[in-house]
Amino acid sequence: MSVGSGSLSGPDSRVETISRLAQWRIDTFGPCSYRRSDPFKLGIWNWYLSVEKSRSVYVRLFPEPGRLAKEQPPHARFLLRVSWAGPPRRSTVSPVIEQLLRTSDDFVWQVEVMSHGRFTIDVEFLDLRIGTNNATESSSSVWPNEGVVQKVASKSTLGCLSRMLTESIHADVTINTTDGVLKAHKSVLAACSPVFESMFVHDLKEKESSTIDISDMCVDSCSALLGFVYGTIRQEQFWKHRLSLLAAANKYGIGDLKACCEESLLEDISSGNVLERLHVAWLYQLEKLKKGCLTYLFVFGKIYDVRDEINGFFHHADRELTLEMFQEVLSVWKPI
Amino acid sequence: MSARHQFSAAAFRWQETDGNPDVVAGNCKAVTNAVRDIYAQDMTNVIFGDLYRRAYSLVLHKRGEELYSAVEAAMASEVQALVGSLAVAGPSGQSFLRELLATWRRHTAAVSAIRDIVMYMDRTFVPATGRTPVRELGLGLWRDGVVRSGRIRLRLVEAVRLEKARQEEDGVVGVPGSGDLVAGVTEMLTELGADVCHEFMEAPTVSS
Repeated sequence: MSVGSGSLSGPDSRVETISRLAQWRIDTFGPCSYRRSDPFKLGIWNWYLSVEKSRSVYVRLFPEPGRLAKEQPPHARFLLRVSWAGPPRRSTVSPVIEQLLRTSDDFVWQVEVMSHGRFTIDVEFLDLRIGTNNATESSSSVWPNEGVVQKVASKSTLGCLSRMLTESIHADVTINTTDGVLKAHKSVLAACSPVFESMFVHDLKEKESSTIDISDMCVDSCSALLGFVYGTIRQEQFWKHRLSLLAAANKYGIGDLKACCEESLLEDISSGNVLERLHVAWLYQLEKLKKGCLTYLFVFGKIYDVRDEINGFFHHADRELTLEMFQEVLSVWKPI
Repeated sequence: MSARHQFSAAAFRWQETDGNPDVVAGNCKAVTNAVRDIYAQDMTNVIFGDLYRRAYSLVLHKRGEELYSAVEAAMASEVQALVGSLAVAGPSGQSFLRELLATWRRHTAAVSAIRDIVMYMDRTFVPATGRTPVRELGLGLWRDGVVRSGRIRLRLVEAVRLEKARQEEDGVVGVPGSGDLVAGVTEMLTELGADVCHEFMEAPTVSS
């Protein structure tokens, strides 16, 4: 990128950067007393350095004028150093400067000329953030690698948990389902469910036996449950076992899983499943799903599609639920 | 069509199993037996998973009322039994306080285990019906059934007074930690309510 124009730019206008350090070597001023560097990139901005030489040297540091500098101005903490090649080699260092840099007027550093001839300007950025106009608002960092460590850590943790489950690493609890046995970890189960947590706290049988009997789940559904807990669950597995997972989430107090199941069951209500969903919603106190089913039946008039089953449903269903259905009918009924 | 009929059968199968009066009664019984075993510190037959499942099933299928009454009654009767055993505790102030505190610790441990077994009831049925949560139920039983009961109340006040006097004589002033019976009693009473602590610790010497 070559922005420098005419006499302002020379062959020695390039600023080299490494890590958070920018360095500009100026061989000669030429006929002018003002020089501006080529732009250099650090963080998300293109920067310029400029020097003006009279009795002293004035060094300015500023971001490329434009939208970015206006909307996301850099808030920088940095220090400058000017060194003359000499001989003898001399240099002078600025104090640490911390300020918002929008234009070339925002910052200037005056240095006494210590020598003649070639000299070098170093800018060492200690921190670089996106400044905000509001002083109380916290600014966000721009180093592209910041935040990466959390992502890598999350991913790596998931990988470890997954291995703990699939390879039964130090597994310390046996789960007996209706048709098979699974191995898991007390600590992981206890961390995700208050019920499992209590199970191993008191001096009751499980603490010693390290066996859990889950007599209301088949091994596939229970694998899906462990899949959720250990983060290995696949979408189709979730889809297939949604209802069992919902029952388990309610029973073991796993709120996130319960919410996922409710959202998912809301997505595919049909006349074939609406009564079943309504019953489930009532049983597990899922208000959103219940409202969805009632709306489907009465506001959209799908009650006529399930005429055959509705008698059987009312025969078995709880009075409380029947009453709610009746109230829903009244609320949408518009007598002439 | 057949798939839909299967639904009706499956969705309401619980009415024949978990909703069956015999099963309901059996589940209630299992929980109340567990309350008894927990107070007796006989844990060999108490399987948390099984009891939790029974209590959960009762509440899920709208039998919370029955479970709550059964648990409340079982706890009350256990606390009554504890009062009975305390009534025969040694006559000396110190050994009475020691016995009282040990029984209190046994009671709180039992309440904590029971509360976890009926956790689903505590989380859904209790707030929905405005009942007293199990932990508070346990505190209330101890407060009204034990420390304020005619048989215990006066002995407690007297024992605390004696113990305080003895400490003053010995020059031992409320060293916290094991062995400090008055501190233990204060802690217990504070847990029962700020007013309860006041009621006992500030009480004038009983002479009437």
